[in-house]
Amino acid sequence: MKKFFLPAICVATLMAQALTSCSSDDEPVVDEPLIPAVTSGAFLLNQGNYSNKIEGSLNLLDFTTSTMTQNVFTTVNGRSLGSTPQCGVIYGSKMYIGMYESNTIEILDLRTCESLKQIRLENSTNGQQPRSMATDGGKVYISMYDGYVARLDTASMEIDASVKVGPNPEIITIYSGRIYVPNSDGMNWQNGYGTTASIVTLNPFKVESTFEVPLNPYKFFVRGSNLYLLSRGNYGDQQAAVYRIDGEESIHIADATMAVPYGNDIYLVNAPWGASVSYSRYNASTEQITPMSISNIDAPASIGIDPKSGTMLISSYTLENGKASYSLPGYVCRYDLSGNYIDRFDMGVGEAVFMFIP
Amino acid sequence: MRKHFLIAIISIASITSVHSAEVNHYVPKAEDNDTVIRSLSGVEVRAARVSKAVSSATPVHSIDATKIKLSGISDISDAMRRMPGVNLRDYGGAGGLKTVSVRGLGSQHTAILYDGVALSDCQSGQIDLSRYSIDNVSSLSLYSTDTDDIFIPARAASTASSLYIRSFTAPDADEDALHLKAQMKAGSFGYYNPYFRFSDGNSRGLSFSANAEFIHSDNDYPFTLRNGSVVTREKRSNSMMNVGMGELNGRWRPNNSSVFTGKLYYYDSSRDLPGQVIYYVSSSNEHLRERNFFGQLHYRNRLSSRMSIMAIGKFNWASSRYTDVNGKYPGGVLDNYYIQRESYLSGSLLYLPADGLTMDYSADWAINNLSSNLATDIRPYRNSVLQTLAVKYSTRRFTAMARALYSLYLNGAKDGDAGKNQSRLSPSVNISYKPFDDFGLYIRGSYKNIFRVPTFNEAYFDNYGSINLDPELTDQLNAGVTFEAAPNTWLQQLTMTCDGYLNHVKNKIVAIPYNMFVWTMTNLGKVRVFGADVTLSATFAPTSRHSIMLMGSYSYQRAQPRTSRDSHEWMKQVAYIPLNSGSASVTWVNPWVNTAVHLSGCSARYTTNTNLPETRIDGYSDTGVAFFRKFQLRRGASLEGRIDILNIFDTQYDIVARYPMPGRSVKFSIEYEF
Repeated sequence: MKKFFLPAICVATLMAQALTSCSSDDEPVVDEPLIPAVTSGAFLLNQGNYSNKIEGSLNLLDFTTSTMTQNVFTTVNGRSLGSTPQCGVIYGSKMYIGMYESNTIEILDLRTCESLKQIRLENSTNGQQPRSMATDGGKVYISMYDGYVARLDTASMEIDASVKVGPNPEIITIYSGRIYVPNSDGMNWQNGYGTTASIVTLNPFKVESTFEVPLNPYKFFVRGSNLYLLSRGNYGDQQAAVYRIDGEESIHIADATMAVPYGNDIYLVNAPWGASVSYSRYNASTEQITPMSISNIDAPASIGIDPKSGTMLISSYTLENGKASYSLPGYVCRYDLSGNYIDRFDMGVGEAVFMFIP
Repeated sequence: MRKHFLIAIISIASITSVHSAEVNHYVPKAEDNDTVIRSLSGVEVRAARVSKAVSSATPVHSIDATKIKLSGISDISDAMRRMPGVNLRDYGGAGGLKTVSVRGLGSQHTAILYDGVALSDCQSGQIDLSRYSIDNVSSLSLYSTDTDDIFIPARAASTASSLYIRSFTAPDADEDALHLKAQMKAGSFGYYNPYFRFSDGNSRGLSFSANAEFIHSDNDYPFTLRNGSVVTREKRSNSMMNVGMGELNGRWRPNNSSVFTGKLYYYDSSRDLPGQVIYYVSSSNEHLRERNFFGQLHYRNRLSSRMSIMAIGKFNWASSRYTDVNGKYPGGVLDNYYIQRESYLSGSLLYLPADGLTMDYSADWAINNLSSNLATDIRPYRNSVLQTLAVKYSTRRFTAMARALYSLYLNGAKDGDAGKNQSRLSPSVNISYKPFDDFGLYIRGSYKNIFRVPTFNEAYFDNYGSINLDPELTDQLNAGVTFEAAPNTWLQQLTMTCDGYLNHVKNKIVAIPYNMFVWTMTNLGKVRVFGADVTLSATFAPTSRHSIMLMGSYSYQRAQPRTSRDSHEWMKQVAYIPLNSGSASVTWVNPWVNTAVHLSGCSARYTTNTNLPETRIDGYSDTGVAFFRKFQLRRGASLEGRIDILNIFDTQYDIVARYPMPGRSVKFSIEYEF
């Protein structure tokens, strides 16, 4: 693996050099680009740590050159991304990032990472505190923790509509022309969590129905032609698990605290409180679960798979006195789809959010 | 009649070193009675001539109302950051929470005693000092470790350090008991504060005092915000506060040997909370209403020349209601309402079996409970039974004291599982030695082993607390040298103290995250703190109409996390503890306008134990000046005018990260007194 990989880097470096020298011939004065051009890789958000006053940040990982560029947003724009970036998408020529505590949406030029617009949501009546994003038909749909799904028009870069959902919508997905919204009711945890999900039609943009789902719904996702839901349970007797949504029925697939689909499979991480971590792959056709062995991860924070290259990224907290630290910079490891370790990169503080470059 | 009582008080005070403020209160009279007392008790009285700061076997730093005024102190938190070894946590402005911790230990390790009785907060374990008005303080004394006072309630010996706040209480009855003070303060950011105090007494030994005040402040002060290369001038918002508080104090001396004192206290505050500064957000909807009532009764009786007793009773009720309006909460509003209550009884017996030997047995009982409107409330309560046995031996140049505290904490919960019960035996010893007869040098040393029990938040707060917590254990070692002299009329007084210390913390209670919403508390962590506290104070009187008073303190605190060698925090500096901190003030007392210049500051700190560069908070120094003059009016009345200019260089700094402190501000004060 490594043997194969090194020459690849050399080739990439040579090519990069060739390109640079070419352009210098044409234009004697060339500004060093602030961020590398990446065709295969991912932007990664570091959430930071609100209580320890650590800002969020944006990193760029180049799969080809195996390099991680830290603090991309601040380098380019001279200011902070803000507090607690929790969601982001790449759509067309732009990148959209939502900051939960700073209550903003940044719209960036995908190539230069320059901020094209910052939308402050502080006084918005279309919802505040962005939690997740999904895209369709020239619009970015954003779940807002105060109980809305807002619609952002990518041409005008304005929020043009919103619908009331909730309480506390989490990670949405778009499935057969509808937005599926898990309502965790997470702010009401002292009375138990929520058990509903909302279905919002795109056109017209309105709530079509709500239906019952397992406790503390967190993330809808699509694999093939099926819709799945990860519910987080109550961190006690009710375990976090992945369910297949069949009409209004939720069919238990496997206990898991994180899940990501790729091809015919769903990759699962189960890291329940106080127990050891396990990794597995669920095959949707055979309904078989195959355990996976993942090395070099101390305390998994998030998992993502590049739909283009099939590269798997797992971010991890750094251990401090044997426990996951939320205030130390974490790291992210790259794996192939079989779970073979490729390499590791330093990250910022907090759970990572992945935005793969299309 | 009066004289005898005074003698009784002073002899108890000096033999047993009852809190120094009590002594200070009588200092003007003490010298007259010196010889009488000596013949009565057979023990030399030194209180009048040597300050407690120097003669104490454990480090104590005191400041009385006169010095508070002279050194330009504008509130209690300002007074605290002038004391060595103190870390003030100040969330900024008049309405910001202010707590103290001492010598690298958490703030829950410091007891705060108001007129001799501990204030308690079983929920958070820390007391907001902004609740107590500097105008009502007759003295502040900080005991950085133990106290060498023997005749104290068991609870006063149950923490690693203690801060005594003495208020102006009912005066001694038949001398000049009729007093009135009316004061008005006003200042920047919409601040105003009327204050009123009245006292009177009669010849049957009965006296009372009453005081009341109201504070309003808008607190919307400007600050500079740096965001990368972008620097903007912003303003705090949602920080208005209204606070009212009042006290009624009574004192009754039925005979020469006994005295009753009592206090009723009420505090009511309504504060908007501006929250931490978050980039791109300027509004906040948080609000906090806090109310506190307590009544306490204190009784002391000198039964004979060899025996005294003391009894204390207190009832405390405190509520706090936090609300935040935001669409993300159920019903659009978060409304957390907590009520806690405490009943407390204490009895102490002082016995002098032989010359120079004193013994004390104290027993305290307290019951605390907490209830709330939270769905997960389990109504926890705690019975605390504390007993101390102490022996002190004093000669003219040597004192030694040993104390053993036996603590029993019994936890219960009406609607759920209670935390573990705890019982422990905690020893402490201290010695003081004066090597030379006629040279004011003292050497001291002390050791104290103590612990703190988990707070109710740590033990029970849902998705956060853990009922399996053990106490956080501390060991404190201190060694020091002190010196005091009054060499001549030109240099009237010179006091120096220098202490080095070593503290160990084991089973430190820390929060461990599971995910963003679910945390748990565990006993994980060891910390070693070593440091030094140095103080200097001097009074020069170059001419009869001029004097210059200097006060300074410097502290070095090296607080090292030592939980495990392969951790990232290993041997770094504990969050929010500066390596260097200090303060200085110079006051020029003159016939025209008295002037004080003061400065306090500290070096950089971090918000995390791992000292990540991005969590660094820069060091700061904050300089202020005060101008004041008193005009004598007819028949003993006086009028005093005062201007305080705070943070005169408009330095922008944070004590707590993202809670900017106010820049330059002005406070005017006018006071009428007779």
